[in-house]
Amino acid sequence: MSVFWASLGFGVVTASILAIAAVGFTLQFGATNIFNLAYGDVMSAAAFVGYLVTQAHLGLWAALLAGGAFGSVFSALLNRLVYAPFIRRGTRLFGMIIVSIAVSLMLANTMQAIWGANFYSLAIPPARPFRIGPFIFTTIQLVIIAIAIAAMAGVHLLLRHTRLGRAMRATANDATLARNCGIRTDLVVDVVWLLSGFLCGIGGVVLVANVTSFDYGTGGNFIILILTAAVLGGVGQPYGAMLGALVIGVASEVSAAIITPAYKELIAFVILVVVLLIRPQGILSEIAAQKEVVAA
Amino acid sequence: MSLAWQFYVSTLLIYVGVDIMAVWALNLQLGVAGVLNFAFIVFQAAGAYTAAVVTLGPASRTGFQHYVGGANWPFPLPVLTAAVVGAVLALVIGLFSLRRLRNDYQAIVMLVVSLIATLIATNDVGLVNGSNGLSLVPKPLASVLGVSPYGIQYQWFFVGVTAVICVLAYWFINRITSSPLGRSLRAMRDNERISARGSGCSR
Repeated sequence: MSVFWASLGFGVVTASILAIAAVGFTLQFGATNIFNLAYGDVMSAAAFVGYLVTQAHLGLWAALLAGGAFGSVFSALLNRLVYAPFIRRGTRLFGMIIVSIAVSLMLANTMQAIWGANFYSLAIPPARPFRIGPFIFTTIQLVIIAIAIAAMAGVHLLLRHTRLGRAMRATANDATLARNCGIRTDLVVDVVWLLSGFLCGIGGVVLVANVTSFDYGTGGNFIILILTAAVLGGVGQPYGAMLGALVIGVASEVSAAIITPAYKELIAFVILVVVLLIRPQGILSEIAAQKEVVAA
Repeated sequence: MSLAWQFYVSTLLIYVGVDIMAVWALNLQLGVAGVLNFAFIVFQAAGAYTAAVVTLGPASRTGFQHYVGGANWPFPLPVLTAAVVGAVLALVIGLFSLRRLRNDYQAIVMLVVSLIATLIATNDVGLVNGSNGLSLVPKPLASVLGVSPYGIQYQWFFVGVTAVICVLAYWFINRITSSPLGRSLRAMRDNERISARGSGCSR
């Protein structure tokens, strides 16, 4: 039974990392209709930025900020310089998936060229374990959970209680209508890339803060779980992504403890396939339904 | 040409033939029918594993590689079995993943299906020898021809076999795309809801 509680604790940590990343990913898709498969590699790049900051003895918080800032600027530039020109020339959804795979490969190979196929770990003080009820967390894991809760609350407040958030939701729902209502959708899309890039960068740093070592492919491998969480919740839906992250994170870690670690991702994938067979639009699906993501 | 160059060129030609067939199949799916199939490689892998297992001979517990089943079938049978297994697997995966999902979700499900297949193939070592893969697969017709399966004559013979299968595959795909089935696939790609259902094609 203690194995179950311990794995549930791990699941919550994985879910927290996944939630930060998946909400950023889904915001991008909602506002721009781009399945940005290079997202995970931007996470890796942000992790390396965080690594450099910790090497300079500036600590985890500075690493998080630097990683977030890097992810933010890099994602916005990625959209302006690569994705937007393709969209202007009429590349459609399938084409954009291929373009983002190409970007992902270029980023991964560039990082491999710079950093080599070696493993790195953040230079932060070793984590001390804490006992909270039946759970055991390290200090860093508690920080990660706190960051995730803060990020989710921040996204919620932004989307529901600010003019910018309303403009973002309107753009995600129907970009043409939003533009006709006087919303500067170009500006909103830029802000979405900055914001989601920030979440992406933070996600990259917390991802590698939680594991003992990482390399250039760590983020690229994580993109599949992000996709699974985002699609499970109904892609384009920030609250769906949070829910999907919780389900995927907890289910994969608990099944790793109870069944076998070899198949923990398999469990996540099977959950996705089964849920999509029952609810083809994902768990939460206002936007998906309105955008006719679902075949009649 | 020196012997080394002959080996290089012949190996390259065999891979060209293999890739041409794969690309034709992918074109049939994405170009003609409009299905973005990220799980394509799963069917190719299933065919390759099948052909290997039915030629490697019965599996033994003491051998250095582990797999399920195993037989010593002569040449055309493994290739044909591989094709049938690939087709059946595609039918099964297609039946559940293409049914109700729109294109972009289909693409994600296909991606996930290919990852599930990779996880199973690498983690279940007893199935097809895990991440070590199967090796020493007998080469088709080598014993019948009476030449060494590792010599240059056999290499050129295999280039010929690949070319013949390529021609057969081209003929087969051409028959499909120019038939009424091909027309309804194209109609489905262009507008699934209106034209295909309107003209009475069932998916």
